[in-house]
Amino acid sequence: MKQSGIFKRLAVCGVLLFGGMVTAACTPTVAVQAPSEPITVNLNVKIEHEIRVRVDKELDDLFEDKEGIF
Amino acid sequence: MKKLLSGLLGLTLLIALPASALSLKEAQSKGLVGEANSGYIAVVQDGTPEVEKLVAEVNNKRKREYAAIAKRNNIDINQVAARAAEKLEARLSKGEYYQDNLGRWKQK
Repeated sequence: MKQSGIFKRLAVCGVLLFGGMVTAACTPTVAVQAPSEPITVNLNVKIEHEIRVRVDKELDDLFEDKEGIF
Repeated sequence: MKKLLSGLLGLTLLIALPASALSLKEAQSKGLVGEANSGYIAVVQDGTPEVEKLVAEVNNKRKREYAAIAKRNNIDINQVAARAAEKLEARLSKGEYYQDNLGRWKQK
């Protein structure tokens, strides 16, 4: 009788411990950290592309206009 | 009358002269000059003074045009010339010369 009481308490403790562990494992931990460097968006690609398209157009016009030298 | 005739003859010569000079198209089709990889033309092999003169004239004019485009778009003239080189190579007719990236003459 006395021994079964100890077992019962041990079992309860075990279940509690297990539950605690399961809860801890399931708790989502999302760490939001501010970036140490400021965020910069690089627009160079787009600008370069636009210039390239414009230069291409101007060159095509030039080739048409100045046939003697192209 | 004689004066008028010689005047007319002189005038005809003056008009005819530019036409008799070597044109870029002729020089290219004869393989005398080719499109260099720089956006300018260059002598392919042993150029005569006439060919050299044509190359210098054409390149001077091209440089002026490239500079204008570079200025309008706020970029370096070499960037314009490099882009022109690619486009000019694509425009060449079969048999005409162009320079590859390593500076070797190739025939299209």
